[in-house]
Amino acid sequence: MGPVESAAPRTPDPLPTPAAPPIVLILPAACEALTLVHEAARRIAAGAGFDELAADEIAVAVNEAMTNIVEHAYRGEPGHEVTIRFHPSPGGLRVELDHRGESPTRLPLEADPVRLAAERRRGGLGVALMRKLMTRVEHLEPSPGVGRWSLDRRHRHPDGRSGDLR
Amino acid sequence: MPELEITIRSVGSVAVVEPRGFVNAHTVSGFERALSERVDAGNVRIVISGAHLSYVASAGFGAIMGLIEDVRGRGGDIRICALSGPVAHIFRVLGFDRLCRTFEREEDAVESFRGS
Repeated sequence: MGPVESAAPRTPDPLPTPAAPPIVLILPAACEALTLVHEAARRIAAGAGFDELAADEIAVAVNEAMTNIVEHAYRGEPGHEVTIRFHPSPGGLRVELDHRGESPTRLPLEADPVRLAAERRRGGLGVALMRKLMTRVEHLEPSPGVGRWSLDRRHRHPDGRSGDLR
Repeated sequence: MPELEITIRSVGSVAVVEPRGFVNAHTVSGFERALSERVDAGNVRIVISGAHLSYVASAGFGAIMGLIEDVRGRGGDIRICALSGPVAHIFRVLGFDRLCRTFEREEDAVESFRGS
């Protein structure tokens, strides 16, 4: 199966995978790990040169991907793991979260909280939020049985040109 | 420090819910319970103060989203005040400013219920 990617009007090119080894976290696929994931992502993003607001946005997006894996890929079952790789590069930061659970069938482009509230829905915001906070969001299946959220965030061009593609 | 502590105060007929810490998929059940208990007790005029929130993930916003129309159907509302910068940013990014009324000061959020 090919990548599940939201059909944005213009999908930016992915960041090139840097040669340097990534920073890797292997964690239980559990909500209890979300705090650690959030803080690690925020600090790594700041260390990669993102300002405070961008680092917070990246941390929230990674938190949402981890939540999606815990709640949807593994349906809250205990005993599973998530491998998170952070790839800082001159162009920005790629974060990959690998799991062995169920893959999403679609990634919604937008979430309208007014409509969702009218439907008494509590969910449906996470993927749209990831998409709003990151330059590129995909769900891939890099090998049989492995699902991967791949989140890219580019650095803003110093002159404000097309580097920041959000 | 606990990940989430919730204080609830009554200001006249308004319940002011003040979470401290963060709301994500791990802590959201406590946040949801605090809101639902107010509603079940008939307190449908609710102000959520975000003054001490460090971040709110989609799970936290979803808790408000899932409850607000029932609250409105009972003649009340959930209004938000004093959001910190990062939380206010995510609130706007998600389009919640179209769903909930927000106020900078708690007093103004409480006062907004007067006459409603």
